[in-house]
Amino acid sequence: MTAPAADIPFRFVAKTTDVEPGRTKCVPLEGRNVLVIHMPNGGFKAIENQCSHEKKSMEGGRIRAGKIVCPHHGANFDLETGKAVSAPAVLPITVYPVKVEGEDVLVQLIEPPKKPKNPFAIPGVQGF
Amino acid sequence: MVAITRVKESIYTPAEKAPEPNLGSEIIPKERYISKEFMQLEWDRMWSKVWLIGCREQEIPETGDYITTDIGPESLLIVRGEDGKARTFYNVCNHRGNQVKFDECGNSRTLQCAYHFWEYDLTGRLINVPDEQDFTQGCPKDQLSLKAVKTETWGGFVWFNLNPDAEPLAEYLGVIPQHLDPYHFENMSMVMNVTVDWDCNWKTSVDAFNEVYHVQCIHPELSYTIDDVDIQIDLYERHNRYLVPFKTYSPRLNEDLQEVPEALADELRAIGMNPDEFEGRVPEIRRAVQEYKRENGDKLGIDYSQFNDDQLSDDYHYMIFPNITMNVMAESMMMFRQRPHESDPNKMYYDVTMYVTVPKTGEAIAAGFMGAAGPPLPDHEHVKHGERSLGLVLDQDSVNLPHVQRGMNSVAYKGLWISGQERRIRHMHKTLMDYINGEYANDA
Repeated sequence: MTAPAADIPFRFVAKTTDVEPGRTKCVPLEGRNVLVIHMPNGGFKAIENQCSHEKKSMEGGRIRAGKIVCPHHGANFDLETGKAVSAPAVLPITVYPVKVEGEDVLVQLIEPPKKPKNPFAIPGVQGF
Repeated sequence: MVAITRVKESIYTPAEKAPEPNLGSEIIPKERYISKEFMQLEWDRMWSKVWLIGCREQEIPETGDYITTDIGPESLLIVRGEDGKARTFYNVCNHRGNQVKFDECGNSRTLQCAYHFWEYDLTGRLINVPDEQDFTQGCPKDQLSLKAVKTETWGGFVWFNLNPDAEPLAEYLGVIPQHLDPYHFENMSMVMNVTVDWDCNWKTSVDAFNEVYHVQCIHPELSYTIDDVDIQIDLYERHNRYLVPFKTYSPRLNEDLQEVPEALADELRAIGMNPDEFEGRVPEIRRAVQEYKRENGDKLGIDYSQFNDDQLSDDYHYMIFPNITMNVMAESMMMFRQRPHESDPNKMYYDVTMYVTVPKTGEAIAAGFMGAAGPPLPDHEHVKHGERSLGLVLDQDSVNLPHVQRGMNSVAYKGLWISGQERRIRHMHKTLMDYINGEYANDA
């Protein structure tokens, strides 16, 4: 997971009762679309609601074994690290640090991981 | 919607659509991808009969420079002689069978085996055997010299053919030099050289680069820089190509883009065009890029005079049978050499090399593209799958292919069910089976 920047405040995103266990809820917040995830075994996760494959919403995606499954083409992402763990996705998604205070779910809107502008660009190779 | 217009006239590289051969529509048996018996047939009847790229001439510039390269079970030693010629030998000492060179590359005055110091000159001739008088049977030089392999050069590459009766390289390449000489690969500089161990058959990899059907699924980002629908496919005798419009976007997006997509804007900036000042419609960008390059070749330091307009924007993608696939652009070339594993049909070696034309103006060099002398030769890296990023697009391909190979091994799978837009795969199999069936046996 991207290291939480200490100076980014935690913001209220949902009440714990707003999302049932195993379900997701998309909340627009400061220009982001935060997908709040109530894990089936308790606890909360939050991600940017955009699959890294085709940029589609992952709202309603199934939560299985610590991963979210994109409802469109089945890409799996680890909700701890954001890493793509199955095709067709390769790039990670943004995982927002979460804390729960009483009934409030709070998130830190960290910056998303950088995506290459040129899909053909190869790290360290000039001219491509 | 995007409407691709194509050039009608050829300058040097033909732009015309080749007549379509009838290749049938049968299922392609999966055994060709997974069976050890077929792998052996491929070796006996194809790999040991075809011209293969051994190395870049640039990798062995000086007398005594050598490089070793493996193909299937064989190791080859390619050496620059005192006469400036590149020669290829089986990399084996005729004394006890030791490999003459173990390392990837180097320079030596003679080729000396490290086991008992048998020594060969740069033409492969045995010149020194320590304690020669101890061999009561003698050491006849004509029998014990390194076994030479046919070697020729084209495009800045050293090619070899294990078949002593092989046709000349030019004959084997057929239309390829006529099509690709205008790009002057021999003047390009190599900027990347990576080998990746892949868990798939070599053909599984070749196939992946010979169709754009998968682009909509595996590479959604490319929908904003290429047209993966209006593809011209040309099937020649052994080799084939497709022409992919770049600097545009995919009709599959099913919308009229009003703003220049970021990836496309970035490509425009890279050649000095300002996407913010572009006044035409987004589908007109490809044509604008062609005109811009035509007008600004001097400023960009690239000689575009031997290219047709489409070549200034598009990817002329070629497959040189059996194992070379190349994305050919006006200023660069991305080449994949797919080599079979020595014993396992489910494995291969994926060689990724990249080449660029060094711009010939001070301005282009000052713009920071690269130094005046061109980039230094990159070190060869050999990595396992996933150890190193090859950029988004190639990473997307590489994630998928081991799973294709696993799937092919399932009893439930019978073989490849090929569409029209995947017909280069069928064409490659036609050539492969012609070799397997001995159609090319009397070529020499």
